[in-house]
Amino acid sequence: MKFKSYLFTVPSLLLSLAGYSGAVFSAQKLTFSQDILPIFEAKCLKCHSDEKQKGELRLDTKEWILKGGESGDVLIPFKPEYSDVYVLAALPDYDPDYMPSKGKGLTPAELETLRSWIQQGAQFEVESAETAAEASMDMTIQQAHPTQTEVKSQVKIKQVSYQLKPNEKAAIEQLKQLGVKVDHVHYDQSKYELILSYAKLNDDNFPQQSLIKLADRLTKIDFARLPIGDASLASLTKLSKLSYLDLRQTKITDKGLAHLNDLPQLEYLNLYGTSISDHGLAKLNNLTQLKSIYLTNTRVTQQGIKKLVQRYPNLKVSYIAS
Amino acid sequence: MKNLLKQASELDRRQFILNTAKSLLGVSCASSLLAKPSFAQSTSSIYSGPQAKNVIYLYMSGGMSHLDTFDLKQGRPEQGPVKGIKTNVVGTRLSENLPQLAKHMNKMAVINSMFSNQGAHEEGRYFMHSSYTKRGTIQHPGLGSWLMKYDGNHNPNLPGVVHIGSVNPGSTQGFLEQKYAPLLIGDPEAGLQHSKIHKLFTEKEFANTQSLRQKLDQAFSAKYQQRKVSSYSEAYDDALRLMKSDDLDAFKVESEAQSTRDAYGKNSFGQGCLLARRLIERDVRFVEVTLGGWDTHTNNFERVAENSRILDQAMAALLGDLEQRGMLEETLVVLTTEFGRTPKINQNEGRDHNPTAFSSVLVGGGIQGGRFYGKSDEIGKSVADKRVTVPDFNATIAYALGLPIYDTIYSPTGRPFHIADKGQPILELFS
Repeated sequence: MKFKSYLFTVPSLLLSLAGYSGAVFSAQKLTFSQDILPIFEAKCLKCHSDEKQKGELRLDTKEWILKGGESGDVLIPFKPEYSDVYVLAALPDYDPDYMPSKGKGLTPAELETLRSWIQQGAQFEVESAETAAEASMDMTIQQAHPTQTEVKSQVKIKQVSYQLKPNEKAAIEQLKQLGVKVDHVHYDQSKYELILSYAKLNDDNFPQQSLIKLADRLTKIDFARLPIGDASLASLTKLSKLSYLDLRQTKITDKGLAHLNDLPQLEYLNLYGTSISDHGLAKLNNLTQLKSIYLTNTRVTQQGIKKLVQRYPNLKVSYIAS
Repeated sequence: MKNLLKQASELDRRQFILNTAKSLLGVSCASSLLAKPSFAQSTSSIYSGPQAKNVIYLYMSGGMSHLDTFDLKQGRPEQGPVKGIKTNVVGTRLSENLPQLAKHMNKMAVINSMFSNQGAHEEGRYFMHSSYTKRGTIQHPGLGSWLMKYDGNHNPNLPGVVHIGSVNPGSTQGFLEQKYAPLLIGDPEAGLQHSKIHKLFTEKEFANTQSLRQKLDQAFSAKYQQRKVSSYSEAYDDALRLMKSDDLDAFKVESEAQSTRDAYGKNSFGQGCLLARRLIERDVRFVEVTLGGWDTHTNNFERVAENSRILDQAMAALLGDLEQRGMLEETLVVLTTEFGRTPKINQNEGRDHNPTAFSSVLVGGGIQGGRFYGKSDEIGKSVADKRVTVPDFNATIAYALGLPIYDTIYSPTGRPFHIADKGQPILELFS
């Protein structure tokens, strides 16, 4: 007990320190004063308390610990793997960031105690009348250091998982062999998207069968800059779930556009830099979901767009007359 | 270009009226009754939720003054001489320094509640790029390298991460493998250097030297089968693939029409943004373009106006171009900086460092534009509402890209890290 000047004012706390036995099991509810402070006293406080504050960090009271050090929070309740106070002590002792930097490190048992305490929510005190006074002190510190004490709860990210059927797996393998980038849509494993631009493809080696096997899952396809034409468009008609189709700078023509009417879910249609004209646009008449269409650098005119918008009043048309 | 802008603003006005009607008149239930049943399940639409594949990251080096660009404090003495102008979203104002970007406000989510705890340039840049504070013992990876680590190349011929102008602190591959390192293009107009076979070499001679190199390396790489050794020869393979690829054209901004080049601005940031568009068009994953000169301790108002002209022209041209090509759905455009500038105007007509409140912008990749998120206080000194920390900002970018922000990755020394440290994404921006 080298350090005498603690900020603690609660007498029961010091008593409980004296009664500390050392043996701790992760199942029991751990508290700071009984279980953690003795470890900190032995291993940490020489450099992180009232005498020295290396890294601008003190570990001797709740307030200082929650305030953090020069590189931010050191303790995130329920998350030992995010809490530097645990992470640095759990490093291999040859790591340059290992703590303590001088003297003996935490024993495996002590590390486990620390980890469990954080995992359980980093309880500081059993709630009592005396600690109510401390709670009001927390408020002032929180206001003075808003960054340090606020612990944000983890934002829930919606994820959809899905198991592929064997024939779907096979189709994906075949596509990958061809150099197609196969990926599922962000956070939704039941939907797939493909980039075909870097697979050396044309109308003759178009992987129609593989695409059809994946039809239930395919929502986005990117053909940008591939030398494919109308024949390939004809083989897309069975992809009933397709909502995003990028045909930028491909060799498709007006003739082929009629095939797209068979894509009931199509929302996004990119025809930038193709030879499409008003005649082709006139063939688009069954795309009930269509939301945007890209027509710059084509042969389309304002007239053709006017007629298209009459059929699709809510369509967003991107077009600059050249 | 004029034509486009007119058309865009017309559509947006319609959208705006619709939105106003929804919120003021309560007609939204009526419209959902009218809509076809499948429309009602808008969650499955590709127009909501995170969609980004690639990122164009515009970095304002030196600390961009939020007060003179995106976070106006009109009527306060702290504002100085800068006035607000209307944007294409009714009721919103941007600084008169950004007249072109004001026409793209409907695409932009402007965050005015950015917060950093790093007040020095080097440390601030490091923090902004890596989500971790700088320390002597480890190099943290930047977002581009994280993206490559988790999701890989889409175009097998081009490098995945390209930095134009400079590689900023905290934006390297850090402790990740060498193959995720950014490629630096110093001068966008010079393009990629040393990518052609030297004129004194024939194809055959070049092939001979390559096979000789492989022979010489053979024994060594058989003896030392280590990640570092193999990544070294992978670098050769990547370089050779690139040299032979048609995609090398992507680096040639000179092949663009003169009118396009002029639209982006005749300066290296403008041409850098044009190069970024060309690279993203060919599925490079992450392109960062840096514009320096924002450290306006003296003569703030003239210098910010000057720098803003460059930014305004280039970014507006970029957003217009991406929109025309249908690339804004899957390209996230980020505008950010290490910190803002103080509301207090110093004796040199300058503003000093202000990390406790500043502005950043997100566009595309599923971000719903036309809005401001969060607020600074009445003078722009501190955050007043919805604070977005630097890790939160990076977590939002990572979320847009579909990256697993809660995954723990261990550095070679066994330390646990996360893509955006403890940052939490702002899901609200995607709906």
